[in-house]
Amino acid sequence: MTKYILYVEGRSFFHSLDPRAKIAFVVCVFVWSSVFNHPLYTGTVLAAVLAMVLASGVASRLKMFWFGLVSLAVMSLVLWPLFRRGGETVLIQLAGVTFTQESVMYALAVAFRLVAMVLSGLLLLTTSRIEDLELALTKLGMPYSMAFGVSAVFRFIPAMVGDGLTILAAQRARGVNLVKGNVFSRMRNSAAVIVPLFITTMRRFGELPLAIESRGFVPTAKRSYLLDLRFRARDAAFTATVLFLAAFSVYLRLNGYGVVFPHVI
Amino acid sequence: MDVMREIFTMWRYTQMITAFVVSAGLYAALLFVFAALPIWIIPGVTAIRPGNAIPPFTSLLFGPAAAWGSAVGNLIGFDILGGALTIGSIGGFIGNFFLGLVPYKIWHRVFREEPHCRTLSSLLKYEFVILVHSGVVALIIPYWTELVGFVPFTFLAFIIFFNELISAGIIAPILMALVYPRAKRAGWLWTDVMKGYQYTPSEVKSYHRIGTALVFVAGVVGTWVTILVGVGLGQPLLQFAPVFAGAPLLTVGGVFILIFAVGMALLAKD
Repeated sequence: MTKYILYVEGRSFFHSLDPRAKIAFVVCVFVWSSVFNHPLYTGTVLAAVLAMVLASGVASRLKMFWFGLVSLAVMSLVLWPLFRRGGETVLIQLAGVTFTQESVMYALAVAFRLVAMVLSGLLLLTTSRIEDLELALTKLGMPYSMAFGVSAVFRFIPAMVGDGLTILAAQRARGVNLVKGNVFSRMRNSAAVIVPLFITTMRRFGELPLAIESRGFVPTAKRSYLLDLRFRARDAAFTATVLFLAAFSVYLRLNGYGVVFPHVI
Repeated sequence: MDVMREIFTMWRYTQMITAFVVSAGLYAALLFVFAALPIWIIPGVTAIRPGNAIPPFTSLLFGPAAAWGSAVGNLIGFDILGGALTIGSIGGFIGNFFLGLVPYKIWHRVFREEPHCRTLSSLLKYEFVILVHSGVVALIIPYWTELVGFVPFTFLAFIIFFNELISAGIIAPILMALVYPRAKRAGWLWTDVMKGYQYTPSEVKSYHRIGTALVFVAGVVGTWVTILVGVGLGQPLLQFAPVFAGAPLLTVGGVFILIFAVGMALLAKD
């Protein structure tokens, strides 16, 4: 169960912020890292996010993501020098392809950008409860029925994955082979897992509309909440600060700072 | 013009919200279940995801709930639980939304036969819908990632197109053949819940045919033309390029996205 819930209990500054302030932070990390394409600038953004992760005490929860993050960075370092050509400082020529210092710097900047974005999203999820995020989304204007649906997906995923793994084990015991054979036979055999999982899921959820309506769920009704979120002065100060920094980063970019290639993001 | 009102009004129906939870949950859960059994396209880089067969399958059953379900299922299963939440996730959300939207929208506008995949004509129509939806998502998501400087269009579009086409093209018809008759009997189809909509059209209007043709041109032809631009026809990959290397590619892809928008607008019209 814990595998599907990223939240880590804690008392850090970031934990104590209103989820809306944290969402603003994530949006601003996206802005900060997107407006620059110089590795020094995107690297600074990444360093700031990493510091926040360490200060929040959630780094150990993110261990399972390090491989993915490194892969993402490596993919960027390999692909962008091939596709984002340009620059004048030739570093090396391989098989007729010229790698310039500028294209390599751009690739490094994008690698920092991607890791910073992923980490900021994970920071939000490891420091916020799903129910708090659901409430924050409704307060930000998302219709309640949609927010309810999204949080229900989070709640039911462990049950669906559990069913899926049970069906997978049962079908393998019956001789269904999902590991060997060519792509087509393996794809065809995977239907032996998906169909029973779908039917099991539909049986499980067939009664759900009745169950939730009998507990007072009316999609169009105006809701009241047991939980409450309070946007305090420090949430406002934090949000104002990150928004100011986002605006300042756009100003810097417009004035030619933080760029390797001035005409691309 | 009816601007696909069902996309928004579906949230008024508890059964459609449940269908959304099933679509999104199943998509996200299958990404997890099959993560342990990767079917590699490029070993260590990208694998075919059998879970990709879910959007065109749930789309024909749950209609608009599957569109939202595909978008949210991918966001939760891949971006959030998989640790890939970035600015690219916006394109992923939009692309996966159309992954669930395009199949049912084309079907309930232009095909009078049911998608049971038990006759050759039903199967061919379903494969056509899968081909179009694969092209649409292979155009939208990589266009966004190229636009925001995330992943180059050419590389990603190629992978997404074949990943969607192979997974959905093989698995989804099997799922439809096995599940559709049962779903119809059980009253699980979206038009059983949202009254006033036709699951298959009583008459096929010419502008719906044109809309479908435009979506096909944008998704399938457009994706491949843009990929070709990305490997050198227009974007000078094989020469020593100017700084603004993505511009020709974004321009060509942008034209096809406009064609796609016109096609969808025609399909939306009653």
